[in-house]
Amino acid sequence: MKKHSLILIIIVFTLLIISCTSENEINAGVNKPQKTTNNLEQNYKQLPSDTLFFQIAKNNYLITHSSKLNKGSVTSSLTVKKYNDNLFSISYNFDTNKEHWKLFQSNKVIEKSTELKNENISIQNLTEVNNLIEDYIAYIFSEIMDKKNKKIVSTINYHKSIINTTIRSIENEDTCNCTVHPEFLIDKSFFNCQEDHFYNTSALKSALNQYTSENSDIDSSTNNLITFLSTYEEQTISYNKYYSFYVTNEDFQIFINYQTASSSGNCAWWCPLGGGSDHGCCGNYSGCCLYWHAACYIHDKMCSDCKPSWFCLPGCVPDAQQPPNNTLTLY
Amino acid sequence: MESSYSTQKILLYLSLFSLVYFILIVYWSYSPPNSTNTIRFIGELLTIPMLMLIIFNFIYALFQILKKRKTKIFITILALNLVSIVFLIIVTINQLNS
Repeated sequence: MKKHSLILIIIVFTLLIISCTSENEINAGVNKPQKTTNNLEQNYKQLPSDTLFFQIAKNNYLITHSSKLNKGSVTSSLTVKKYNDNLFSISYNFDTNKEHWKLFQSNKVIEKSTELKNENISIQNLTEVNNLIEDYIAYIFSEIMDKKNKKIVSTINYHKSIINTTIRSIENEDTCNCTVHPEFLIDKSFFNCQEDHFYNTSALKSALNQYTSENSDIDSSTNNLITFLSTYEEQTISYNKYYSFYVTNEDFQIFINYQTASSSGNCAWWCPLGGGSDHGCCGNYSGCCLYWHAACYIHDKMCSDCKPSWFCLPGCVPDAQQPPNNTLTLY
Repeated sequence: MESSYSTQKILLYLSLFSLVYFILIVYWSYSPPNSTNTIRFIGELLTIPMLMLIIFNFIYALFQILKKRKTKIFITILALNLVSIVFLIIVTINQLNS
């Protein structure tokens, strides 16, 4: 009898533990990871609001992220280890004091992605790391969003975008591409590449149906999008494709180039030889020009559109074009 | 228009150097290195003079061959510069069409 009651107590106790665990997970409301929870809670509570540190340890991977804010300047790093060996590490810095700093981020992400791609890390490893970050990101955001500075939290997205851009580039056998998301430019979200954002087609169709039923005056861009979607059969549609009905990728890129070029040119008005990225200055760098030569001037003039790339050399930046007269509207 | 042996040797080495230079910058255009600052600085300064040099060397070597002067060394110079020119034309067409 005693033996039976002991077994009964063990079963009841086990069931109680299981039910409590399930209840906690539901209450948490996010996908709460098990291994990192203690680390994460300990670390973010110890550090001030302008410093972030967390580690994810799962499936033989150890992902370490740290970032620090100092007078508007943010430095961050992401280190990934597999079986205790360094797989890769990415450092990402940006200065929010700089004018139009947001417009420069997509180029920085592309640059870092190209560096990561050149390290020849297998796509499987990159995808596994990306999936791990995806699994934990909602929980991390929910835990730190109201405790940490938003600029510090946003660094996670830059690292995620760099990994995603590298994966896309390897999969498509193409150069690294990342178009800055308009929502980031108008402070609606953290940094994201348009290429990584997808809409569910049926959800988009129903949202547009609702919009057309509530509004009698539909603009031509939306009409074109509705017509396109009526024959579109894929389950998802990329943000790139969706947004191109309102602003073409080309116009958007022209707008970004124009804004970045006009902001970087202003700082060199006092330099005797002009700016480091001006025509005639040998090389392409920020700050004052250090060496001006007629050969470099002819070369720069011939490379206004960076074609052919062998002649215009790696790192060529096309000249900024004026946005078209029909002024660009960002949605 | 008799050129000395040392001039011919200089032309030969310049042709060889320009071929290697263009092979390198074409290679870097397909797989850019992490830091491009030095390449851009030297490249912007040297690319146009190098292009002029290979065209000059090609025409000069052709002229010397037609005049039947020191044919052996000038055929080598002509061949090297011809390879450079054809190589760059092919790469340019390829990159403009891609």
